[in-house]
Amino acid sequence: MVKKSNDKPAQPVETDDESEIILQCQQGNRHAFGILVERYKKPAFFTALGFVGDHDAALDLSQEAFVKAYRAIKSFENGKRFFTWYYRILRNLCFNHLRDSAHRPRPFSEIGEQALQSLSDAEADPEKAMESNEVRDMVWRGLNRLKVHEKEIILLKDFQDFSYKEIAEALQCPLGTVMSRLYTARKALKGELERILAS
Amino acid sequence: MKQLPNIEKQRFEQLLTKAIDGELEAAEQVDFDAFISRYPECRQEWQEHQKVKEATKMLKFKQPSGEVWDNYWINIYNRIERGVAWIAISAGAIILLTYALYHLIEVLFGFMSNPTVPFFIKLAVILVVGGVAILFISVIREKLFLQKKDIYKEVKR
Repeated sequence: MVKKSNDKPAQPVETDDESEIILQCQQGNRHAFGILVERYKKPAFFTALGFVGDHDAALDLSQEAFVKAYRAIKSFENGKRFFTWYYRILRNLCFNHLRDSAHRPRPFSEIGEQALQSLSDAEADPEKAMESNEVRDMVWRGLNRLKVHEKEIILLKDFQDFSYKEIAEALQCPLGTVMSRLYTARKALKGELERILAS
Repeated sequence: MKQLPNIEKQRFEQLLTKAIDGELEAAEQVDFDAFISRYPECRQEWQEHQKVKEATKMLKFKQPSGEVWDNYWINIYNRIERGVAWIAISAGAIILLTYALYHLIEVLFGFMSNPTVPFFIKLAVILVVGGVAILFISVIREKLFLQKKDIYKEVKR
């Protein structure tokens, strides 16, 4: 059982400055780390979900990545963005998860927001909603047919809204490479979508 | 119909990506407009990439229940705390096992040097201890060295 004082980052770290929070983490302040977790838990979870396509696994992997980040926080070069550093830990865990097991992403209908759910009855055009659900399912299938690195760059740009600079930092590659990889990945996705449509 | 020269392809691909993501600067916008007005294949590719971008933008993941977010940090905290507990348990267990091993060796030496114990019993003890040692070394060797050379380790099962 966890004490009340542990379940939230209760001891406030009197700053919003990420470098200051990280400095406190490096001095062993778990509550400061809790603030980082609160700040990045959603992008972390959705990044993992994009990779593995399974809610439970995404939750487990994103939390495990935070634990690893906590243990390695002393090696973090302060001044850089925490999330891009954390992202590298998370992606390795996700890649291992996909490699070590026969896990396959679930259909989008199980993990995605469906148009029918989001439209109110008054406005709903069931035919249109069904159509957009089909498109979503198709795009998800197309994404999962891509090479993992192609899928990754589309997830970072179009789902996480990372800037080119942030992607370059997360993937440790030059800006030009980010753009050319994005171009290739989108072209590959277009090809997959055409193949799915044709079948 | 004009064809995009190979030398310009890379430049166009970069501009196209930036255009799709709304990151073109004014001067680049001029270059990009020139590409799509001059080369029909560029215009077609631009339209196709726009459609792909629109399609990916349609995907939105379901939010997990509020409880998941409420317990998120607690679970991480527990894992961190349990990690410390496991390190403590492992360290203690290693110390205890080393101590037990030391005493076992001591007892074995006493047993082997005891003249009242028959020779065939001593031989049996040597065989058992030797066998266990060989098994142990073999397993360790397999784990440490052979696994590194496993050519099938990347094969998905």
